[in-house]
Amino acid sequence: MMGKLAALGRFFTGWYVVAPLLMALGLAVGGYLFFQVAPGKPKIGVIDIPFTGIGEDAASIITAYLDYARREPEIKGVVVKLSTPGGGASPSEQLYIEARRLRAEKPVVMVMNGLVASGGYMMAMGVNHTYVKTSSVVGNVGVVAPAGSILPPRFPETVITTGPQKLTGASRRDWMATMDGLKEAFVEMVVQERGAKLNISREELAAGRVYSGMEAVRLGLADEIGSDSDALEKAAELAGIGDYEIVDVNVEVNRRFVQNLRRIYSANGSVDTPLTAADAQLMGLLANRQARAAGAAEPAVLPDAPQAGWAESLESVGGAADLAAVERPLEYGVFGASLRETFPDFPLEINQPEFYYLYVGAAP
Amino acid sequence: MSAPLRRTLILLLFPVCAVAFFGAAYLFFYSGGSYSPPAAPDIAFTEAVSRPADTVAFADEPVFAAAAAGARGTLLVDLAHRNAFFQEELAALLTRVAGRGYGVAFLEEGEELEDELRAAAALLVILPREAYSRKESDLVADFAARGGRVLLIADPGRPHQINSLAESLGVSFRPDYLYNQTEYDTNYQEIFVRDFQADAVTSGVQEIALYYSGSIESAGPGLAFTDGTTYSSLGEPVAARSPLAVGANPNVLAAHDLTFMIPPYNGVRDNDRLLANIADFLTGGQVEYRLTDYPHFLRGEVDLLLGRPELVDLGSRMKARLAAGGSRAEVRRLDNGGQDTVFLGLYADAAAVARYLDALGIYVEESGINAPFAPGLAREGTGLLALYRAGEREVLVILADTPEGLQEIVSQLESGDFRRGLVADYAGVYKTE
Repeated sequence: MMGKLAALGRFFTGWYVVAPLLMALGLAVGGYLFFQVAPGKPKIGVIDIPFTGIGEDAASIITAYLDYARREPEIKGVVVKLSTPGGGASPSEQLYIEARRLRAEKPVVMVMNGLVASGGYMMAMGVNHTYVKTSSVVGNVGVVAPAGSILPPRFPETVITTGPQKLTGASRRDWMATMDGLKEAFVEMVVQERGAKLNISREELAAGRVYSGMEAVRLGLADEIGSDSDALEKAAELAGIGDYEIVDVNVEVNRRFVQNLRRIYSANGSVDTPLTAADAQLMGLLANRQARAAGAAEPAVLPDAPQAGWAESLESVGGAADLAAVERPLEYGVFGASLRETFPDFPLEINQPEFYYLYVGAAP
Repeated sequence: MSAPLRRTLILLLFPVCAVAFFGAAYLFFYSGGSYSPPAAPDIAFTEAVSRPADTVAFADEPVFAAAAAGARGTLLVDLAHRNAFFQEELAALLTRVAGRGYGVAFLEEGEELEDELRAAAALLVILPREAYSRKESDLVADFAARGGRVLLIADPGRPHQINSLAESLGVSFRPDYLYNQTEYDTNYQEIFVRDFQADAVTSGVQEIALYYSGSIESAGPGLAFTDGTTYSSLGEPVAARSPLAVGANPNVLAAHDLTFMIPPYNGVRDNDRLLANIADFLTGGQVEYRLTDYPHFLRGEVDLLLGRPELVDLGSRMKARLAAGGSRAEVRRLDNGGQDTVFLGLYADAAAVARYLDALGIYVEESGINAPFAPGLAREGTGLLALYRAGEREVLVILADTPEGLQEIVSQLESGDFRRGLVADYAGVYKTE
C-alpha cells in the first residue's frame, strides 16, 4: 500500500506533471496580472451626444463624460458622437477646453453626425481627428447675441448706480466690439487648431457659413468622411492598441451617478451592487433632466407618471416617495433659482446677457 | 541533464509562462505603441480685441444764416405711416435743421398730407411700415417737382415699405445690406465709405461710417460708393454700391441707413459733416408755391397793402388771420419790394400792382380782364387772385369790382373754398355774385 502511494507521489511530482501545472499557473498569473492589475484589456470610451443645445446643464453633463473618460485608466481612447447647433458661448468654450484636456492624455476622435455647428464645432477643435458624413452640416464659426435698440436705455431716477455702465455693462458699441473680439478668438482657435489642414481664409471662416461634410473635408474643416466604426478604429490606432472593448461612457457615468444617489438614500448602497428597478427609475429621472437640458420637446423617459410599483421600488432605495424630493438634488439645490426669486424687491428686471456660439438655422 | 538542473528549469516555467502571457497579451493589445498627444497650439486669445472707432467733435457751420426757427420754412416729418423710428433718434438732424431757421412739423394722419405739404418746404420720410398710396406718392412727387426737398431714409434692420413712395421718385431701396469683413468699425455690417460723388451733400466729406446700411438703385446719381471689399448681402459680384443717392429729381435724396445719424454714431469719421450737409439740403429748397397753397407761401413778415383806405377793415381781418397762421402782417402804404406782400384792392386800383399782373400775363382793362387761362372776362361780379413770385418773395394780388366782392373772395380764400374755383397754378377768377 505504501509503495503504491509512493509511486503515485513520484508520478505527481514528476516533470511531466509539474511542468504543465507550472506553465498553466504561470499563464493564469500572467493573465491575472494583465487583465486584473495592469494594464488590462484596453477600452475605447464612446460618448454619445445626440442633438443637443449646449447650455449650462448639457455642458456640465458632457464635461462629466469627458472627465470620466480621462480618469478611467482602462479607457485608452475616446470617440465622441456629436450633433448640436452649438449653444451658449461659455458652455461651448468649456467643452472645447475639456476636450483639449482629454486630448492631452488620450486620443479623442469625433464623429459629426447631422449638424455640428458653431459652439459644437468649437468643441470639435479640441479633438484629435474628426469624421463627417457627406451630408453632415458643419461650421458656422461666429457669435450671435441679442441686443437692445440703438438708443441707450434709460433708467428711473429711483435706481442709483456708481458708473454709467453699471446697469448695462457696456455701451452698445463696446458690446459689439466685445462680440467681435470673441469672433476673432473663435476664428483664431480654428486657424490654430486646424493648422496647415485648413484650406479656407479667415474671412470665409468668419462669414459663418455651414458646409456639407464633403465640403468641410475639402476645406480642411474636418478630417475624413467616415462612420462610427471608422472613428473607433482611428481612436484605437492613435492610442496604439490592437484590440479593445467598447465602453458606453454615458451609461457608466449615469450608473455612477445613480449609485452615488443610492449611497445617499440607502445605507446599503454600493458601487458594485447591481442596479434594481428603482435605480432604473432614477436613471430615467436623469435622462429626463438631460432631455430637458437639451431642449427636447418630449423627455426621453417620463418618470413624472410613475408606473405600477414605482413608489414601492423607490422606497427600497431610501424611502423617498416624494418625486420632488428626489428630483431636487438632481437639480441644483438652492443654486439656479431665478434672480427674480432671489431678489424679489429689486426694482429693475434682471437679465443675463450672453453671447452664443449658436446656429439658429434661419432659412437662407 | 542533471536532476537539479531539470528542477531549476521546471521551476522557471512558472515565471516564464507568466511573463510570456503578459508580454503576448501586451503585444497583442498594445502593439501600436503609446499615444503621443499633438502639440496643443498656443492660441493668442488676449490679442483678439476689437475697439470701436473714436468719435470726434463737430462744429456745425450752416450754409444758411441762423434765423428764428420756422422763419425760413418747415420740415415735415412723416409719422402717419407707422414709421419705424423714435423721434429721439432724429435729435441730431432736427437740431441742425432748426439751426438753419426751419421749423419742424409732424404729419400725424395720412389724410393731412396734402394740407401739410402746402405748409412745408421739405419732407422727411423714414421707414414707413404702411405703404404710401398712389395719391400720396403723387403728392410727394409733385411736391418735389415744385422744389420741395424730400429725404427718404430706410434701414435694413427695420421693417419698411419705403419703396411704395421711393419708386415714384426714381429711387429703389434694394432688399440687401452691405458688409465688409476686411475693414469695419465693430461689426462686419458697419462699413466705411470713402468714395463720393462731388455734390453739396458730400462737400467736405472724406470718410463716413455706416451702421447696417443697404444699397440704393436710383435714376439719379449715387453720392457715395462702396469699395471692392464691401459686398451686398444679395451675393452679387463685387460692384460699387451706393447707400446714398439722389432721385430722378435732384430735390430727392435717399439714404439707406438711419443709424449713422443717431448719437453717438454721428460722431464717427465725417458722419456729422454729412449730417450737416443733409440739413443744408433739406433747408436749401425753394418751393414754387401755387395759389392753392395759400396762406403757406406767406412766411415771416408780410406787407399788407391796401388799394384804398376804406378797405382797412378787410385788411385788419386778413392781418389777424395771417397772424393766426404764423405770419406777422403789417398794413403799409407803399410796396417796398422786399418781402412777401398781399395786395387788396379794387380793379380801379390795379395800376399799383400792374407790374406783377403784367408779369403773369394778366391785364385788367376797362373792358374786362384778360388772362391766358380766361380771356375777356367781365369785371362785374368777378374776383381775381394772382400770385407773383420773384426769388423767395411771394406777392399775392386780390382784386374785385366792389368792396363786397373783395370781402367775399377774401372769405373764400381764407376758407379754402377758392380751390374749387377756376384756379391755375398762379391765378384764379371767381364769381362774387
